[in-house]
This record gives sequence, C-alpha cells and structure tokens, in this order.
Amino acid sequence: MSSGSPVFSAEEEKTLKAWTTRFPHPNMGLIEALRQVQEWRRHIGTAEESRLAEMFGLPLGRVHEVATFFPFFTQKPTGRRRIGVCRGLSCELAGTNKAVRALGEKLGVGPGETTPDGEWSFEEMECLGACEMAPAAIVNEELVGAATEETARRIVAEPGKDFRPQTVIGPESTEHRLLTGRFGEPGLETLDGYRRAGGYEILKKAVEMGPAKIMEEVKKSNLRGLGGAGFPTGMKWGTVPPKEKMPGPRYVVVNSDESEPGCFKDRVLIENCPHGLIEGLLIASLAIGAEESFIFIRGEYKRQHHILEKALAEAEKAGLMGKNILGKDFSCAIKLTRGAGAYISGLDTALLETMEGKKAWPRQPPPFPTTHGLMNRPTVVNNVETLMMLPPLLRIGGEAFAKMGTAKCGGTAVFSISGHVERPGVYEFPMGTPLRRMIEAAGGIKGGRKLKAVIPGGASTPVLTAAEIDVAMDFDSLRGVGSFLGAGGIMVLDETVNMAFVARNIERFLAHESCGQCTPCREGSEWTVRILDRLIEGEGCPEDVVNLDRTGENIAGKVICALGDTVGSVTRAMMKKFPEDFKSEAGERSSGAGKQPAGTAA
Amino acid sequence: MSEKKMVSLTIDGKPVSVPEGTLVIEAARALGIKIPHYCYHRGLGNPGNCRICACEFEGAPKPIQMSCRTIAAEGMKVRTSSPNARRYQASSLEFHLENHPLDCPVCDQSGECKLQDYYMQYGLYGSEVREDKLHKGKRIPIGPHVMLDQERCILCTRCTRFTDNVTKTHELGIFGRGHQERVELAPGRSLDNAYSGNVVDICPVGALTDRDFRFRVRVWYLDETESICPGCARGCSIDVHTNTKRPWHNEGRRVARLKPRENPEVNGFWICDEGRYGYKNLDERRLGRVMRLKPRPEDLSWSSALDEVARGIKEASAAKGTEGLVVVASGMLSNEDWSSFKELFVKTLKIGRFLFGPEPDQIGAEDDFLRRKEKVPNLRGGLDLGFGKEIKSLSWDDLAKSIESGKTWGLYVVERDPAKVWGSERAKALLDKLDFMAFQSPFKGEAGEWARYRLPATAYVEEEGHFTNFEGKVQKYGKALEPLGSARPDWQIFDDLRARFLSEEGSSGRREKAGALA
Repeated sequence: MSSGSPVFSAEEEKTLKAWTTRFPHPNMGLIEALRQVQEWRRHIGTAEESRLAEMFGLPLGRVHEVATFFPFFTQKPTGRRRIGVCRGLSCELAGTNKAVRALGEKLGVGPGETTPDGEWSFEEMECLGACEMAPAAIVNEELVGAATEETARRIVAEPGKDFRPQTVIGPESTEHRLLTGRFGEPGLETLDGYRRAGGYEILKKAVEMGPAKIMEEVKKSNLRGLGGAGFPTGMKWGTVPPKEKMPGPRYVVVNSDESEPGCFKDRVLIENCPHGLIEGLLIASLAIGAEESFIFIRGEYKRQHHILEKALAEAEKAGLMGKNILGKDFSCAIKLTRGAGAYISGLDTALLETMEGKKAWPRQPPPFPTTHGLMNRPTVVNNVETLMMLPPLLRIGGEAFAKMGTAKCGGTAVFSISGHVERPGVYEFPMGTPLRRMIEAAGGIKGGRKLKAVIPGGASTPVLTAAEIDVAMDFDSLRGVGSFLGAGGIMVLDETVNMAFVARNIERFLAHESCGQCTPCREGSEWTVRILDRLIEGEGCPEDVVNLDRTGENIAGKVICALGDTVGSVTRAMMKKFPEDFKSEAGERSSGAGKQPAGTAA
Repeated sequence: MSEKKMVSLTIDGKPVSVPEGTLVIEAARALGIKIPHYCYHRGLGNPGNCRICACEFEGAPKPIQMSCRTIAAEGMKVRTSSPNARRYQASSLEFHLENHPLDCPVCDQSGECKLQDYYMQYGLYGSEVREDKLHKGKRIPIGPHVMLDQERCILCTRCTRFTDNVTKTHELGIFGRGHQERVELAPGRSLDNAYSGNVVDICPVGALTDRDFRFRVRVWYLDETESICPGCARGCSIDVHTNTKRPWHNEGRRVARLKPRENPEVNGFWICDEGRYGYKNLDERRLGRVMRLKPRPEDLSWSSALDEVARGIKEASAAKGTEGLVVVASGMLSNEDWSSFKELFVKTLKIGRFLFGPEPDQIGAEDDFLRRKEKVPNLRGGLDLGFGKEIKSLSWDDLAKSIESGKTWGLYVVERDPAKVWGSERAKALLDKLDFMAFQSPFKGEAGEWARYRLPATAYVEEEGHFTNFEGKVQKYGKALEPLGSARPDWQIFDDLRARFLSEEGSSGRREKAGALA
C-alpha cells in the first residue's frame, strides 16, 4: 500500500502467482490463494486482498466478497492453532457443550476468542464430517478426534497428536460390501496395495470398452447419484452434449464437499481407498470425453486432501493419469481444489461458483451444469461414492449391479450411522435394505434405551418415527414416507431426546450455512431459529407453532436451492410427528427441557 | 431486422403474444398487469433472489414459479393473483419485512417505497414477528451523494449489479453471508463514480437515499414534469420533481430533485450525477427584473426596455456599422429560441459575428457512457440552422481582441457569462469599453452587472421547448414551473425585439412553428 513495502515477499508472490495459472481460468485459483494467505498471516487484511485483486485481475470488492463469505477466512488474526469443536447434531447429542466448557477452562478463552499469547483460537464449528467420533474436534483443518472432556484437554496439552478412534466399517459380513469389502486390508490406500486388490484393472477394461459401452452399462445398472439427489448417473452423463455438437473441453468434477450433519462416508472412502476414487473419476472422464477433471474437496478435510494428493502423484508416476493413460488413446489430467468452509459449496452449482473463485451462491438452472457448468463448459458433477461405485459396477456388470438393489435403485450404498447407536460408523448395504436392519447392524440403541426417531439421510431429510423404521432404504421408498435418502447420513435419536432441540440444532446449522442469496431462506432460517430458541427457553407462545409451520411452508419450494427447501421442511416434519415436544410452556416438555440438549446433562 | 418468433399465452385470462424469449413478468407488463418485484429490473437483469414475483402456472409440475425467471412459452396459463400466487407474494413480503426496522415515519423513502406499496396491496396486517430485529449499520455516508442504511436493505443486489455491470466501478459488494450479509463499500472505496446517484433510484426501499434530497420534502408533495436534462449534449430524459405545495420546505427551492426517465434510445434508465445535481442553481441568483443598469439601475417594463434596446442597436449601428455588434449565445437555447434568434439577428439585423462555440466555458468531462464534453443541451439545434456550418463562431480571444481594438462597440449576450472566461477583472475592463451591452439570461452572472440592459429569461423548467441532442434526436421538455418575476422565454424576447425592427407586433404561435421545424 502507500508505505511502499510490498505486501508479500518475493517468495510468497511466486507461490500465490502459481495459483493464477494452475487451472483453466486464473480465478479458479483465488480460493486456494486466499487459503494460503490465511495460513501465512492468520487473517486476510485489506492490503492482502488488494494485492490478490491485482494479481488475479479482479475488483477488490469481488475478493472481499469471497473473503467474507467463507468462514475459513478471517478479517482478524486467529491463533496459530485454530481448534474447532463440532456442533452438528450427533456431536451436540454427544456433548459439544461439555467439550466447549472443558476447552474453555483449559485455554482460558471462550468460543470465538483467541488466547492472549496468540497461540490458540477456539471456535464452535458446523459439521466436521466425523459424526462417528462425536463430538469431533479439529485443529488447523485436521480432524484430531473425539473431544470428550478428557481428550479436549489433551488435544491442547499435546498438540500434533492424533486422538482419532478407529472408524467402524461394517457390517461384519462383507458379502454385499461391493465397495468397502476390502477396506481394512493393509496398504489399500497406496497404489501398490490398491493394485494388489485388483485396482486399475477395470480402468483397462473400460478403455477397451470405450465411452458408449461404459455409458450403456451405467445406464443398465440403475446407479443413482449418491450425494443426495439420487439422479440416475447414466441419464446425467447422457445430457452432456457430444463433442460433435459442442466442441471444446468438458469436465468431470468430484463433489467431495461432504458437509451435511450425519454424513461422513465420503471422508472414510477417501481415507481408505483414494485410488478407488481416482479410478472411478478416470472412467467417468473417459465416458464423457473429459481430458481435465477436478476433485473439489471441502476445506476441513485437510488430511484427506493430502491423501488424495499423494495418490494422484502415485497415479501420475505410474502413467495412470495425464497423457495417453495405459499407453492408450485416452488422456486425462486430474486437479485438486478446495473449498473454505461453506456447506452450500456442496450443492452442484454453488460448488462450480466456488471453484470459479466466487462466493457460493447457487445458480438457477436452466441451463444445467451438464451443458453450461464449470467456466460455462459442459460439466458432470458427481459425488465421491457415485464415482467409486464405477469400478465394482463395471467389474460385475450393469445388470448384476442393478439386481443387487431395488427396481429403480441399483447396487449398494454406503451409509453413515451416528447418534445413539452402540457402534457408529460407515456401513454398506444393498439399496432397499430396511432401516431397522441397519440400526441393528450398528449395535442397536445405545445403552439399551428406546428409539424415538431417526433422521434417515442427513440433517436435511425429514425425520422418521420409531414406528417407521421398517422402511426400505432407497431413494424411492423414502420418498414414499415423505423423507429422502439424501446422502445416507442416518442419525439415530433415543427416547431422551427432545425434538425441539433437534430442530433447533439443524435449523441453526442451516441458518448459519444459508448463503444469503434469496430472501425466504436468508430471513426465514434465522427467524425459525429464533422462534425455536424462545420456545426452548420457555418463553414460547401458542402462535409459535403456527408460525413455524406457516414459515416452513412458505420457504419450501419457493427458494433458489435445496438448502432453502430443507429450512422449510425439517422443523415441520418434527412438529407433525412429535407435537408434544413443541408445546409452548416449558413445563409441559419432556426430560430434554432446559438449555442443555438431551444427552448432555451436565 | 430478423423476424422474431412470437409465442401466445394467457395471463389472468387475457391472451397476449410476445416475442420468443420474453420473461413472463414482461409479458404481463405488456398487458398492463403489474407483478410485484424487487430484484428484477429491466436495466439490471433478473437474479431471482427476492422471490416476490411468484405466479401460479396452471398445469406446471411446480405451479408456483418466479415470473422474472420464467420465459413465456406457447399455451402457458399464468395467474398473477390467484389465491396461491398472492399467498406466496405476501409470504415473500413477510420475509422481507421480518428484519426491516419499519421506521417509515423517519424514512425518506416513505411514499415511494416498494415495501410500503406492496404491504398495502397485499394486506399483511399485523406482524407475527416477536423477535428483536437484527441490527446492522445505519446512516453510513458511502459517497458524496448517497447514504446507506443496512437495516432497511432487502439485499436485492440492484445497487451492486449497477456498480458491477453498468458503471463497472465495483465500489459496492454484498459481504458476509446468510442473515449477516450486508451491502457495503469495498474496503477503502467510496461510491464516487460519475453515476452514483442512480443507485438511489433503483433501490426499491429506503436503504440508499440521496444525501442531497433526504429530509427536504416528503415525496407526496412533489409534482413531476417530463423534461430533458440540459447538462450536456446527450439530452437524457428526466423528470423534474417540483415542490410548490410546501414552499417553505427545501430551503425555498422549487425544484426538489431530478430523476432519470426511461428512454431506451438515449439514456436507458440512467443519468449522470452532474446532470442530476445540476438543478440547484435554478432558484439561485436568478434574474427576475427587467432593468437598465447604466448610468444607474432602474426597473423598466418589457416594452420600454425592448424599445430602448432596439433604439440603442439602431443608433449605434447607424453610427458605427452593424459589424461592430457581436452576439454571444450558446447551446443553452432551445430549438424555438434558435429559430427566433436566427430570424432576429441573421435575417433581420444581418449580424455577421457570433460567438456560440462551447469552448472553453461550456466544456467538461466526457466518457463512453452518457456524459458528453459539450455541457449544453442544444448545440445541434443551432447547427441544424447553420450555426457552426455557414455561420461560424468567433472565439473568446477573437472577441477580446476586437473589443480592445475598438472594432466591436456592442455585445448582446444570451445565457452566458464572459466573466467566466476572461476572469472578473479583464471582463470588466473589456466590457466597460463597449457602448452597448444587453445581457439576457435566467441567471445574474457576474458580467450581467456591467451590462447596460439586463433581461430576465426563463429557465428550462419554466418553459416548454425542444432540444436536439448531439445525435440529432429532437426531444421535448415540459414546463414544470411558472417563470420567476418577469422572466420570459428567450424566443419571445427575440420575437418582440424583432418586431421593433420590422415595426410590427411580436409574433405569436411561434413555438408551434419552431417545434414543427425542429
């Protein structure tokens, strides 16, 4: 600035400038560059924003918009270590408040503050994608484990140490575990280990088959998008215009922005088998003719980002990536790019905006990404698990894959099970497996208590009562009971839970993650939380329930994206099924009443 | 022009045909059906974020759709005010009002606020909001002309789209996210571009108000007259907002503000700040009295003043020759004025020396959007009558030299101030050498003090007329106010004076003739 001293050193300038040329468009490197600056300076000041704006040829306001949108960036310096405790539903049920208290005592500062020596800053965070280790804690974007009162203190006392428990992968019988069957085998995360397990053989086969036959098998398989929407994968690919009609680049983008409370399977899949994702991505790229593809991973998955970086380097070295893969007429480069802490980035069009270095405001199709996606080019956005299903799918063939599932929903799916079960973890079942069996496989209800409710597909999916758990877990059956399979994030709630707390937890998450683009979601989500706050604090009035219901109905379906729809439907479903939990007078509510969520009685 | 395919649909039971690609909200407008909207603006696009233009589409899988995001299709059946549509319009309004401070009594937007208007139309009586309103920044001066109130803002993004896409100056952004989001200046910036005032016009609520206008006068006391901005050769369409019902407001100024008027051929939806705030002198330093100033000031009637002026010119011309009289004018004249001007000075008096070129006192900043460097509205009107073609303009230097040398004995100055070019001292010295000087203008002007005759002319808001813009487009401006004092339109003064040379009465019906000519 005016002082004349440069904002960045020559070395730093070089690092930052490299981001302007790494991707098809300079702007695509902006968020990575901002991340770098945040890491160096522990905040992003105006001087830094101005320099980046110059470097990327963007107006300062554009850079400032991005820097103030994503929670990863701060305008004031954070501590050298940023510790975050997850307040997602499973974590809050398991005791976020206790962990926060313990950390507060240990650090001498509260959430949102930094220790005077500048060493630690401390935040409550939205879902970290580690519900099985609830309450999850993170230090500088790396999951460090469960923040029980004891470990919370140790995380601070022994920085750098990993306290993560082993994640359960089930069920025990691997008979129907198409994707996760070999998980746990030593070295599977390395190229050698993956190859020993038959890895990249299917890619060879796919190259022989060619795009048309791959597409045919995928269509036959009834593979549905496993990121939540359940759109038939083959059909999505089929809407990409052929190169003859629309020449020029096209992309496959892997959506690894898993951020919905209750969902953590993508994290576990990447940790266990990064090459499985790369192989799947290469097959998809081959199918639609993409010569450049991207993996977009959520900012909080730093460890998983490293795992993928390493795996990509191995694959490249082995000639599995880049020019003339396997010596054949097939070339595809894969690049990694990261988000910066916004749930909405997980919505396909918001993800593309994020990748383009903008704030994650969803687009309003049409046009759809398959014709006008990343940098306005045809783009297929597929979830991690969807792509990882491709090698096993081609191995057993589309028909066999389809047969494993239901009539319209082929194959298996990997479910994240958390909450009040004995063995939370990641479980793979054929599509259509009854929910009851899944809960049983996860050890049943914790402590032998009674089941009250299940959120079947992640925090945004409408709740089921204990009486509804015989439902078959697939996209269509869940729609039949007024809910969604979502991304298969099953959250089990026992009899001690008050649904008003659950509703508030989820609505607070959604209000925090609302991008602010459209009015009903931006205003309605925050209003819903405030009504629920009042209700829970015993200051409710009879109109509150009416207003919650009315507000919900007025939001759902009238907003730009699916997050807003969720704001409108989550609480309504809970009020409908558990009206007694939403009575206005505090005294009338069940044992969960009071400021502490159920299950965290101090 | 290529033939555009038409599609037919019905809106509220009325059939309409529109070109393919037309938005439903526009198709409705073609039928005179107004659908409520905030974020949509014809000059700024349709982000579809305010969600209030919801309509019901019969037979659609999702019947409630935003009419600003939906393209009209063949056979479509749209209902803009079915119970369902109205319910969602009302509910969207409720969300907009949830955190709105409802400070209408002290808000300057009152009376022209879309939150108020729609509230009245959609009948949301009684708030269900029991929560405290969210607090954000208030009374933030974001530039020389604009005040921001973040609490009143409904985040429709019109202003940021204006600075991003129209001026491309990027001063404003929407920072933060979710309900923490706010419109704000980018760090270190100020909303000081040449078009900043437009954000006030496009803001549908009281978030952006005009620092110049706010708290001057309530908008429901204002009258509007269609006019043309006289600030430069572009000739942007404007509305003149006048305050005559509450004359003690607005510091006694009769013109309260100027607003752009939509004109796709000239200015779209916009005007520049120079033009917008150029009205303030309209009630200041005005001439209202017809006077002879030398040897000592004395009020005259129009008729005796014009008799004296005519006699002065005749006598001096007879003694020293007509070529010693120079007429100074400018592109401030309307087409009607130019026409009478030519009749008087060229055809009747056979004057050969004129100064009307804009340099240097009527030249200013230019850009590739609206602003033209000629800061007068109607040089082109003069050009079309030969001023600038066969009739050449002197320069101010030529004029000074010819006064110094004694070649020029008289000046007739119309709507221009030589002191602005020559500086006071030199101007006075030069003008004192003259035997004759008439100064005709709406404004006093420094040099007016040294003239022999001072003739008050009407300002453009006090007359009806036409300007021809630099592209040759003839545009009418209306009369918004009665003239101050004895002021008369320039053309009328010219005609009346001419009559004294022709020994016949000043013509009437001149305006119609000139307008047609233009």
